[in-house]
Amino acid sequence: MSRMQRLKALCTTAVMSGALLICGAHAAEAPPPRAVAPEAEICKNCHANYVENYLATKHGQHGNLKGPDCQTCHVNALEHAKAGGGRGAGGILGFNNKAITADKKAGVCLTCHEGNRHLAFWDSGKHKKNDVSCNNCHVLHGTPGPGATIALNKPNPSVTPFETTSRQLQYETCVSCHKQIRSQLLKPSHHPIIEGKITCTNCHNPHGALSQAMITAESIRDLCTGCHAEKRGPFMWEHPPVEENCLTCHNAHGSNHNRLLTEKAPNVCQDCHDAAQHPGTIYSGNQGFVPIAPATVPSTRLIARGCVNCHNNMHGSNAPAMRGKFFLR
Amino acid sequence: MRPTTLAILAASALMAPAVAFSADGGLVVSGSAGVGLRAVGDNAKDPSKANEYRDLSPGVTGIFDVKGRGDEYYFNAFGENLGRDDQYLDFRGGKYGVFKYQLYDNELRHNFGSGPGALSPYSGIGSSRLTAVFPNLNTSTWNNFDNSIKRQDIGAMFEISANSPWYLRFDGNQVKREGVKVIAGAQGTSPGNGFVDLPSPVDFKTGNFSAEAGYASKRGHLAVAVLHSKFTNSNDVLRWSNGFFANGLDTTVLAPDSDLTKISVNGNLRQLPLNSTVAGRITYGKTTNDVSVLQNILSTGGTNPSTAASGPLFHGENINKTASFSLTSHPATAVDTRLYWNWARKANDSTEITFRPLVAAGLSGGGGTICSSTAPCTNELFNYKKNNAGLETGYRINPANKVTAGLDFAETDRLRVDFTHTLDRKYYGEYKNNSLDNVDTRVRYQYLERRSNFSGESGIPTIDTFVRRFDLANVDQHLAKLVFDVTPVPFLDLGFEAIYKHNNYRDTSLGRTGDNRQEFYASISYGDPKSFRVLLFADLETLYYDSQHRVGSGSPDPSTPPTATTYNWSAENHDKSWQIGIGADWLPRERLKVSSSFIFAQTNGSADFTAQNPNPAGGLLPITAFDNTRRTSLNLKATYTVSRQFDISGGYAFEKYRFSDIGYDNFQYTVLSAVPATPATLLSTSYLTGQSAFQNYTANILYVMATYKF
Repeated sequence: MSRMQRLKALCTTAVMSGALLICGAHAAEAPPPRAVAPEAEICKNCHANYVENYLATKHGQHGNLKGPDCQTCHVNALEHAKAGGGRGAGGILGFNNKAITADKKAGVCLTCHEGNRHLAFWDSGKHKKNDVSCNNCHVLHGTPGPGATIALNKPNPSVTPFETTSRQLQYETCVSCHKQIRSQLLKPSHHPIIEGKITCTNCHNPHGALSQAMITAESIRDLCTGCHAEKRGPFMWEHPPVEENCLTCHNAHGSNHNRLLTEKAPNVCQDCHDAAQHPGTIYSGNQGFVPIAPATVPSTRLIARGCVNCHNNMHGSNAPAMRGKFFLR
Repeated sequence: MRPTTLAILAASALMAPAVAFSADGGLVVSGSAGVGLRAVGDNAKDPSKANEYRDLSPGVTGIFDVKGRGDEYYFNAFGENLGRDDQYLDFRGGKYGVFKYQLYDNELRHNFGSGPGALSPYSGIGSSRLTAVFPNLNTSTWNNFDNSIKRQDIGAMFEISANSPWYLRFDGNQVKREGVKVIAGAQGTSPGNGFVDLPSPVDFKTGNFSAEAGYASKRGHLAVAVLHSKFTNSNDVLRWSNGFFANGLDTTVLAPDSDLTKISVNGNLRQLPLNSTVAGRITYGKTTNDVSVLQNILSTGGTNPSTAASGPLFHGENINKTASFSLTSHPATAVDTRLYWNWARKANDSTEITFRPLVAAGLSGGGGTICSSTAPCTNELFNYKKNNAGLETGYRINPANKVTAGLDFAETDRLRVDFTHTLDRKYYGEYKNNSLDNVDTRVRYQYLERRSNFSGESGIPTIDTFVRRFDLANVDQHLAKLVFDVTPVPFLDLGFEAIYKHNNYRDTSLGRTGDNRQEFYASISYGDPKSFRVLLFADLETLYYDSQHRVGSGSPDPSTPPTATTYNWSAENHDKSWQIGIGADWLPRERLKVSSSFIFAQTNGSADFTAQNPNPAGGLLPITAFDNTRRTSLNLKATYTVSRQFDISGGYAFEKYRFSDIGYDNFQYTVLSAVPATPATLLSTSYLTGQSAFQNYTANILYVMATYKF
């Protein structure tokens, strides 16, 4: 970090801190919390913590006149109390109760939220089909983490390398179920998801979508070129697998190999390309930076980026003649 | 500081008095602000891997998190890493039930190399003109450069729903990427003429704007959206000295500007008979650009012969249309179904340009048989049309048992030289059981069969007659998945997941013949969030890729007997990765929270070769280091609540990363094409920047932060 950048960081922090100190000094005393409906007062007798947490949330807070009360979601508080409490007693709807189907739990939330724009394709999505309900990801009684406006379920401690972000990251909710993805995100080559620069919802819509894997675009290529617009083209010389599906060569979540490649170059290229000379040639362990006989020099198709050392514009080229046709320029 | 970032910060700062004023009107403001210090020590020759997406530089760090909640209005303001390369700012708010808005600034620097990982014989790095005099084997005369790209994404959203269920929404953002990215250029006219790493300027800007109008109610939803995206690259071409061609200025054509406009209509209708919901979407997108066709380009002897292009301008135009339909139903209490159909068409209406350069110009290949005056070449316009339909059915035997089955058909017609038609048939079955209160089990099996029409057989066989590219080749795929979760006692969860996937490219004689994937994931978590939580996980993944190849100018038919120079060979690539991790959160005392995390991760790659020729030209030694890495990460953090207003947190992190790969071990900046070198062979020397060659690092990070809460 240069001296100018350090000064910038210090000034920015000072300005924001000063502003926030003013906020703090002038913050009005919190008005008394909204009382729950009389029927739900009974809930406080045993679940005071939950009631208090709830009133601090977006649903329950002061002023949100549309906010539901305990009974709106859990139903039958009085019957539950008469039955002596306990899981399911009196017909209470407990969202951790496995005996209640995911559809029924989600139905509670959909009673109010079904008309929300982002839930338009909930019925078509994989989460509904796989019995995932809203409470699997969302925590109504929880406090949003730093930088978040919604409280997400984070059942486990964070297990990541040191990160410079203090936010509770969305992916930690998703990987509590998607273990394969957790593994891929921690690989040497990965999108900056664990660093907090990309979120799962940048590419996927967990609330449902018509596209495969609930991606937020109509196709894989449309999704990827939304950020990687330099590969959008159109190009004079196209590379058909690039035009059709980026995942032919790349793994978007993480890979052992540089540039998120599914297989190491040159082999990933040789799986499709063969010729009388190169790329049909064997590039073996003899041909690294320390060549072993019969090799006498390193092979420029094995070291560094392999085939891409020469065929640099393999995502598409506008160069003339053979220079473009073979993606050399 | 960028003007836009400054604007966001100014807006946030100005909110303070505004908030203070409105505080008297009932807006309750709470939050925190923190200032910290970070110290970092590392022994990396090239710290770019450690800083790949993070700004780990020592110094001041700042963070704020403020929330305002009132009778009608609310806002959230968050910022961290203030003034640093990975700065993040997010400001959102609205009026309940009326409107909402968001402003954000998300920055990162993608570091590729520094120090010995960013050396080049070129001058003018950062510009679109790189000059050097070759040969130049003396790296002490080379130039260091900043091998990184700074990415800044600034955006805003505004949505108004005062007239619910009608709504209007606007989204806009601009992504700027600036810096240097190392590409490469082939020298000469033959693959044996080497290559040179080129620090190419990156000055990209992508501006996106979308507007959506819709009607969203519990009964149904309909929305119309328009998106316009403009990508601009300040550099059309990169000019660079090519040592093989007498140090003349060669040209690489960089990513072209483009415009994308897309219109989409989507909607659904619920509460239909049989508890059904129908949903659909149609989109129309058009991407265009105009690129000048190079009429001359550097070639043999430093000349600039004509490319003999049939036209001066390439007009690129791709039209993408899609349509999707889904019908989900519950025809009976225990039965749910989903019927779906997807259609997509890519029409390529770009210009066809034909090139007929003279053979002597050195712009053709294959001894003048490719892209020459006697064998002209024209760009192929790739088009495709896809049809996909499927049915999924689930039957809940009882509350604890559910079976699901599905079939999926995907048919594609393509304008392509090898495969013109593919049909994928996929069948799957799945069984879920949660009959025990504390056990969940899921087993899934899927079979995919792809059959393709190969159109590459015509005239005299060439090697392409026998190559089957795996993305479209005939394949039989088996996929099995097992998921098992058990909670034997309260707060203790055990999870296990296993995946097996095997592809058999049954009719492939040259190309990838098979691949196999085995994955295992296990985890144990225990804890009560109020006191102590721990997670332990272990992952193992192994991948195998098998392929067959043929080399030599003899018969391309792999079934013909080998000769000394024409023969078949095969490769087996093996990737393995495994990791273990443990993390714990602990509240030893009421005011003290401790978090810790440890990960050890290892990847190993290798390739084995066999050949009909026992002594091929380059040798047959296996490769034992194909992206081999080991990473050890330790994180310890403690947060102490001094009072209601103040927290102090501090921590220590340790990281060690080791990398080994045949493509970078014993790295050399210059690679001769022949030994001993001669003046002629020196022209084919390759020149590298060192990017990715020095990834090893060991880092110690100490940090402390004081946070004020209000």
